[in-house]
Amino acid sequence: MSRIILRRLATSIPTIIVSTILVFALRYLLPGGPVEAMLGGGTGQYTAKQIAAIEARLGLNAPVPVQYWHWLTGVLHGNLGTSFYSQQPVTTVIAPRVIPSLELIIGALVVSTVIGGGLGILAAVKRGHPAGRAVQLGTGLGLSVPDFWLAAVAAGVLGLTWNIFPAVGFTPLSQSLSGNVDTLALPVLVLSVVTGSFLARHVSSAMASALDSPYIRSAWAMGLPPRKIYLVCALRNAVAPVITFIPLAFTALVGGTVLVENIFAIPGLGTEIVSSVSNEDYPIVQAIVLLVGVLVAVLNLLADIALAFFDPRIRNAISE
Amino acid sequence: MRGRRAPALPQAAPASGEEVLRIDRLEVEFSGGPARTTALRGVDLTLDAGRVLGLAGESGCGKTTSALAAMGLLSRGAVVRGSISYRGTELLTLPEKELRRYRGRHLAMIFQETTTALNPVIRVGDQLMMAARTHVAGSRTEARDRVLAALADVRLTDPERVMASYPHELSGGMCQRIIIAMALSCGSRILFADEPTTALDVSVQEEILELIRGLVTRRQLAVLMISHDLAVLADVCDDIAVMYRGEIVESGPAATVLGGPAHPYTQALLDCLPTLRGHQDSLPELPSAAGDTAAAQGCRYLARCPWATDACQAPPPLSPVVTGQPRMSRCWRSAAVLAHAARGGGGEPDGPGTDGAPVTSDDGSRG
Repeated sequence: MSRIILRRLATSIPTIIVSTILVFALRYLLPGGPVEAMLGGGTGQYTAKQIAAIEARLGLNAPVPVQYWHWLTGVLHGNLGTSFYSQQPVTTVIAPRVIPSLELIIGALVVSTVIGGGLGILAAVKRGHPAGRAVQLGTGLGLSVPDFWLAAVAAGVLGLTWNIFPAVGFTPLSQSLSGNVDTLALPVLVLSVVTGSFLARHVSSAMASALDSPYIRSAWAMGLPPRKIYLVCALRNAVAPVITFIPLAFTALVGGTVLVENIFAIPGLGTEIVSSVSNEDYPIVQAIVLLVGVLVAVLNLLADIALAFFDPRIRNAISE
Repeated sequence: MRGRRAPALPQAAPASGEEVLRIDRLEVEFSGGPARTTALRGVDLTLDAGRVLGLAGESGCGKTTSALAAMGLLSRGAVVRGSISYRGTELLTLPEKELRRYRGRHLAMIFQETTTALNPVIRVGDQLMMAARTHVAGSRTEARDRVLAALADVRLTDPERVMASYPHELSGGMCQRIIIAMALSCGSRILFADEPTTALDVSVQEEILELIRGLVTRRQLAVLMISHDLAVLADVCDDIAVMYRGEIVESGPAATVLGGPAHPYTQALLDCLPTLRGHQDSLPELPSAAGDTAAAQGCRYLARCPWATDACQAPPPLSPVVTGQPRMSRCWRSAAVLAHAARGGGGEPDGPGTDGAPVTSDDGSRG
């Protein structure tokens, strides 16, 4: 197992390095370059001498690899730069924003894994029955409904008309647990509909093919109780698609939070990145993109390790 | 949950030769949408303790369907009529929940697949333990002892290592031994073996057949061995039944039936066997069954049969070939086919002149 982890790390680290290079390159992709972005109002009103002084102060006159090295060592020491907009350290700006977003993403992952996974199992076990067909239909709808529409309807109907949950706003976990859950309920629900439907489809097809396999027929022939056949024999073979799904879902959910946080007015990374992009506050954008990139790489690493843990065939294939 | 108690299961071991399973006039129809397919048209079979019954015939003739019907494992769309009785208990009318107590405990079934018949992500030992604890109450230690005994019974050396392995780490032959051990770990009296050696290479095939023969003797097991391979059946069976399109066309002691078939279909199957003695460049083929739907009224083998006469427009009954002997054939011309086989068989069938005469000597005029 430790060999597998080492081997997999050997491929994750280059991925992370490449993503840091891409994030670093962001500053050169911005219109007018970093100095103009920092000065905001365009470079026209500054003399070449002034611009050169700023470049020297920011270390922008050094060769690009050296700049990258300075930036990377800074990042590793927790120094992500200073926000152009608020003139505060990036970490101070971002830190309080990470928690609401992670709450949303983890909440949606848990809800869609539990409910979507459960519905997927049900759809496979009840294939051809009304219950199975209903799940197929429901997940089909869930996949085809646009999330911005769903978010608007959820905020409007569940939040404003029926007053079940607050339509907008956010109460931090540190203030009140119930308030926190209340304010997150609708956005998590909206995010879970699409991911949950997707996962249900995934699990149901994996379960269905497991249920059609010879080892399940043998299990029936042995007189095993259906509960064991479904939940032990077949489900163990449907775990792999769930594991591969989680990093994918995470990336999709990061995109989803941008939309949902803006609709439900949640002060998370999604709202922050939108305002930072419009403010051309590239150190913030850079930090958020870097954070998401590293998280995705780490999740992929964990998923691969978990896969090897659950499927002995993968374990053997990697360690040979 | 259910108020009604199931009939008590027979626990005592059957005596050697005792009839343990009786299948009577078994009919199976599959209804998939508007189309209906008849898979079995009145099959009679009996299984005796300590004996192996071979079930031969081409793909789709109903061999596996017969076994699955006895196990109660046919798909939901199947309509089953007739009777299947296990030591006095009618299985066809049992509710699924009761039937489950018989599966694996009294009737077991193994299939052609070897490596894929075991769950790929669960250790062999855990799978064996799960099976062994399904029907027999008791501690883990007791179950483990039974599993180890079953593994020893199928002649697996190093059972500890086998139990710690995953199926993909073992060979096909080892997997089939494990499957047999699993099927018998709760003490089943009957084993349906559906092409158990087809996926294995010839030397391993021989070992598995020998193993099954040994279990039949040691445990007084009743085996229904399903195969399209007459050579395999000749090797292990006491009795044999040949099926064609949902009917048994010939049955009797294996040596007698394979030594001198009384049905043209059995004869045709035997003609297809390669021999080491013969110097054939190619093996004969059975005439194709394509478009063979007209014979709904008469003999089902009519369109492919070289022996057919006008009499075959009426369906032949399964009747004794020689009065007083246990072998049966579903052919109007059994006697002629048998007489032909007795003269060495093969080649062209005899003309209609020899029909109906009792077989006492070689009375045919042509050869």
